[in-house]
Amino acid sequence: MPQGSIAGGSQGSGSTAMPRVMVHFDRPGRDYAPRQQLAVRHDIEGLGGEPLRAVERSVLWYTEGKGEEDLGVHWFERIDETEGLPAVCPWGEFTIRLPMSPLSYEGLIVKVRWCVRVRIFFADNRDFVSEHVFDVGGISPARAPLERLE
Amino acid sequence: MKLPRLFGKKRGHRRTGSEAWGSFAEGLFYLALVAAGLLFGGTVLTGAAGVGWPRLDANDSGVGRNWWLAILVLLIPGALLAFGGSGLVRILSGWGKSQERRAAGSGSVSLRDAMGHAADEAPGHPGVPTCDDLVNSPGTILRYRLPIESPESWTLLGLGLFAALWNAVVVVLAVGAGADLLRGRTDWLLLALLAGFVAIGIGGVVLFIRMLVLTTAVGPTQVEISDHPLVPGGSYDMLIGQGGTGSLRSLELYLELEEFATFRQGTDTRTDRAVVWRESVKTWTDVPIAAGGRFETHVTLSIPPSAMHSFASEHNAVKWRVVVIGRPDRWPPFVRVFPLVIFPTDATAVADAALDQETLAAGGTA
Amino acid sequence: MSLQASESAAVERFVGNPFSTRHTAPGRVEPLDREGEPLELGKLLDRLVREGGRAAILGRHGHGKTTLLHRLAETAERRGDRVVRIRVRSPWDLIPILNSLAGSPSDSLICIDSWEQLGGPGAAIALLVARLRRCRLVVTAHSGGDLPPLAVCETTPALLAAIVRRLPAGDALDGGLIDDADVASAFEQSSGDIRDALFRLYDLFEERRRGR
Repeated sequence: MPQGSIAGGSQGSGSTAMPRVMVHFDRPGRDYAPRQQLAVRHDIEGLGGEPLRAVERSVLWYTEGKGEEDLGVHWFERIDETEGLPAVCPWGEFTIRLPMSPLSYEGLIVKVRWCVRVRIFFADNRDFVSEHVFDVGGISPARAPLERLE
Repeated sequence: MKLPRLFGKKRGHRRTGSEAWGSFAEGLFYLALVAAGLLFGGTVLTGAAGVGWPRLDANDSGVGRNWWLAILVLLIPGALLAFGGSGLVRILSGWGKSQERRAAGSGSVSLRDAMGHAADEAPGHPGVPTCDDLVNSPGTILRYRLPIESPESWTLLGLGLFAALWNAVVVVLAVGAGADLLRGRTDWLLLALLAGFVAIGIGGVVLFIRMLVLTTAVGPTQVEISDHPLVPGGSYDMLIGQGGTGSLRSLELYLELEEFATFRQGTDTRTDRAVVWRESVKTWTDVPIAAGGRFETHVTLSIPPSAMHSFASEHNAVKWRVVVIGRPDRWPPFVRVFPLVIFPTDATAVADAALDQETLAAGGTA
Repeated sequence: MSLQASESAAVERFVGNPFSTRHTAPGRVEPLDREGEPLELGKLLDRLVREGGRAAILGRHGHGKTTLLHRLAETAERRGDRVVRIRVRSPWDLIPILNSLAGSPSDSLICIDSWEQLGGPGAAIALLVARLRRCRLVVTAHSGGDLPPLAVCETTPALLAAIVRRLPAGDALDGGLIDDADVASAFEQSSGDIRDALFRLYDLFEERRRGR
């Protein structure tokens, strides 16, 4: 199962800060079983003193492949500045229990991936998102395509 | 000889869908409209409907009224022909083309069509389709009888309807042409049209009879299973029953995993399918089927421990199925597909053990 | 919390299929011109004003109309415009379009994807209401109809190559799984349909990755 992250965001006007989000998983190899506990710590760097509006943290699965992207959010939390952004910035942590399904799957035209997503909203309407993939279930990857029998 | 059933099951809503069936049913609908239009129009034109055609006699005070009546009456078959004909042209022009190309013209292809049918989610199992439709009919020997995907009986019904409707139109046209001939008039255009219609009508009947013979000779395939849903690592008793007459050179049973991915953007919709895993469960050779009886055997179906569970989201799906391929001695091979639902392994024990370990570790370091 | 694993995002490597729709769907790819250079979206918005506020992005299937519309909408939003995005799937979508037009302040930018799906009468009604509401209107279509062209999307092998270069870095490009000849071949086999070419490259990537 691939591990990786993807980061990106929409650019606001007059801002050049490019944050960096580091996520630390509590399991070696980021391999989890369904219904297992997932503990995560995230560090946010490179904010350059820019004021933040909110930080969203989520644990979700999404599909990847030749079809449109579907996703299911298992856990979501939004922290606004009024509620205490200092508690999650520059670092924060959370612990959740994973669901029974879907399991991570490296298919041919359909892949199911689990990830921790951290989204940072700046005061100037810019946002930055960082995704960190982990594995649930240890499912064998699909093989090469086979000829249809029908 | 056992007559085919329209439904593979005696009770319950056991039908599974397919894209081709949607197009076929739609085509059949338009064809029925065209046939009805022709039938109605032919009846009106030949006077069988009792609508007298106006004579071109200016002194006849009823001319205006009759013309209007005739035109009004012809509006109905005309509309049927126009609507049905345009629909048929659309279906035929899209036949064999990708869904996205077909959707480009109409925008009518929905995800639900593209994916066959949208599955409900099993409780407590996000992203896993429910297997309610697969467990609502008990088997005769094992617990559940699996529904068949795209049974031939529907094709048979469609072909039968087509042949009947088409030949009804041919009869109407033939009556009109015969009446003309008896009156000493020869309408060559009508005769030429009739010849073409007769050819298609005969073709329809031949196809229908061939399909009827094939379906009845091969006989139904029945698959029963000891439990459902299945789980990875599990082994299940499966009953295979094959009816018909004569013997089969071989009967093959496969377990398959297929992925479906639908992409839709603007006018462009495409659904890709890929069989990514297949295992031969068992192959029987030289299978005799006694007249009026059937071949019946048990087999163990084992699901690989690290298999992916069934998965269905809005645009993507991973589906399991059992495929039966029969090769009769005297008939072409047939393929019959039976969907299965595999749930993820009940990882409760695994997770709880892991949790216990975590608790122990935490306790140890405290 | 005992953190046994710690990996930095900066050193993680992209290992998915770069041609998956996640990275290639409209809105994810930067709109480029036929030479593969970025389009100046601000200038296009200015041109929309010169065209009277209503225009069409034209092009064949998979030629980048929706991608351009997405990015145009984003650019307008960043300029502070109110933007409404609508994807038409059937003539019945005229109702939500009219609803959006009625509820939008004048000078809003209404972006409609697949304009021709509305049909002639529906498009005429939507256009009339947009004029009455003084909303700006950008649509994607295969042919412009009553609307002047804002941009005509054309594709070239250079454009596809530029799109591929901009996809997330991964095995496809770094490890030599897909090379320039593959990209050119995909373009040719797809008759210039970029979307189809990217799907072909997806399959090729999976085939080669599994073959390794």
